[in-house]
Amino acid sequence: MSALIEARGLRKRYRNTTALDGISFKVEPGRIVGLIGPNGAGKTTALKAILGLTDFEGDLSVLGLDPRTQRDRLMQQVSFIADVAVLPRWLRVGDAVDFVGGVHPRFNRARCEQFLARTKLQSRMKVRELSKGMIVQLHLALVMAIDARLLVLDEPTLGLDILYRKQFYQSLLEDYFDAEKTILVTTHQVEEVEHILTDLMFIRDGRIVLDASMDAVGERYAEVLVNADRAEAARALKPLDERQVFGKSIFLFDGADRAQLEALGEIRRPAIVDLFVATMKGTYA
Amino acid sequence: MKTFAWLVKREYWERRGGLLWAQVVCGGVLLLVSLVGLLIGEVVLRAHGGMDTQIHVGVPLGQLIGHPTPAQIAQFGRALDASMISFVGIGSMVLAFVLFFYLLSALYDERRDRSILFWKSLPVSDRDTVLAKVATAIVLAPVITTIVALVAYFAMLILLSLFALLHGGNPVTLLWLPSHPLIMLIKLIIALPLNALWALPTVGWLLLCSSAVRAAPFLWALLLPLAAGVLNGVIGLMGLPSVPGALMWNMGVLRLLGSTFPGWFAHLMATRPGNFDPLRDGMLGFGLLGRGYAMPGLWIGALIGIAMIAAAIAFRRRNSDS
Repeated sequence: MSALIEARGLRKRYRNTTALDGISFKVEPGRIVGLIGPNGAGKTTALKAILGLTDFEGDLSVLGLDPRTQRDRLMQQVSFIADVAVLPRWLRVGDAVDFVGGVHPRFNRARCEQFLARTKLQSRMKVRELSKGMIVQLHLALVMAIDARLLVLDEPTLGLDILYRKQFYQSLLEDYFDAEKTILVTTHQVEEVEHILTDLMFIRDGRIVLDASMDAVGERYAEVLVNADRAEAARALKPLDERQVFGKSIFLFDGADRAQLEALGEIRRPAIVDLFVATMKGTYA
Repeated sequence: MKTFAWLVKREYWERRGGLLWAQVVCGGVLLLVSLVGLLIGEVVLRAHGGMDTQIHVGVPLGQLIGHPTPAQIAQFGRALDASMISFVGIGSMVLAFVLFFYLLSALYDERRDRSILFWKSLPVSDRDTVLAKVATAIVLAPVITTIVALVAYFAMLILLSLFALLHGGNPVTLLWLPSHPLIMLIKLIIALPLNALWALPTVGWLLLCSSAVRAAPFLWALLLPLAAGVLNGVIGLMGLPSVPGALMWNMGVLRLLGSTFPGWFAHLMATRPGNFDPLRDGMLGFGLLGRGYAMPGLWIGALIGIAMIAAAIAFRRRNSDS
């Protein structure tokens, strides 16, 4: 099956900075891909390119369409939630549902109303009267009622409390995601998406520094809990990173031999946060 | 087509205050003034037993309840026709201000509050989005204005009829038959496209500013044409080739900034004073409308306006997020 998104040599320069430095990647259907990177690494620019919201150099095909020239057609198959507060403040909940239902051929009104019924949102409420969390609930209800093939989420839970954040991803998984759909998400709250991702992409200074499935990440990277007396031996294996916890050292290895690691101590799968921190070392230096 | 209707509806939701309620208030005020006029007339009548003809509510009240001559009754009809036009005219003045600010913010606010990211996440083209705003400004808004003004006018006519009835006059023969609401309505309908074409340069210019500039669209929209006009004047004063001042200001600056006012009327008066007959043309004569449509400046301005709308669409395509 052909890739859902295929990018070759994407390049985007702003006046003083290079946001995308010739990146290439593929996203296959039925995946949940996390695009993770520090501030200013080019995540949002990459998403904007995919959504047809910005110009760029290079080749990019999303569902076989060129987002630069075919944005309106593309948006029949692609949904998008940016960080909170992009719903206009004057819009009423009921009008939002009517409008999306009016212009979107793949919108299922009954489904949307079902989602809204689980919240405290009322049809007459205006967006300006809603809390951030409720705005996201509304946006999510609208988007989940659209039968799209690609959902792009850019920091969707920014500024929400923990209850809303948990509920957000839970709804996505339970009521939306299936084998026909693909989700591309960027976030700083890596711990929250860690368990739902199938693929991981790290981006830094406009370049992709890691692009692998979560399974591959689990095989390639290992974290070892080492007693102080064995620390020197561990360092000899050139770990990516080292940190101290309760008198023990935790080493992060990239592609090291499993048998050797097992001799040093207890092996675990590294958390994405730790992998991220180790990979991005020196970014702001 | 269905999408376009939703886009226009969207504009209406956002701007209901300016598009509908401002007109309702305007009509209400006109109606209130009429009512106060009638009450004053009543008071004067009771105090003096007769009424001098200075008090007008559409028609001179004193004549209305006296025994008007056929000539006076015919004059009532013309006066009522004129008030029908002026009810719509006053609404149009209010609308002109509303539209100026509506167009200036139409493509700017969505960038400032970033809701453009929501609108652009839907399968709607930039062209349709911008054209829906144009249609709101030159079709929907004037139609609402006309309807509300006519409702207010007929409410006034009913009040006046009650007043006549109260004083033994027959409103049908005194007021309803001598006036020509149907013909006036046809004239108003013929004037709608003319007003729309006339407005295009301002519509285009304000939308272009609204979609192109990073900040302060109001200042850009206002200062750029004014600066161009002043600069042109200075160049002229230095004896260098320049556009004649009257042309520059009347056909350039004023057309860019003020055409949401249906000023073709005044323009026609100013450029061809000899051709203007206040009695015949004062109430939107068919001849006047015809000459309005025949103005080259109307069509040239409309073309320039369309070009600027196209540019505004191109900017909306590019400027999704500042």
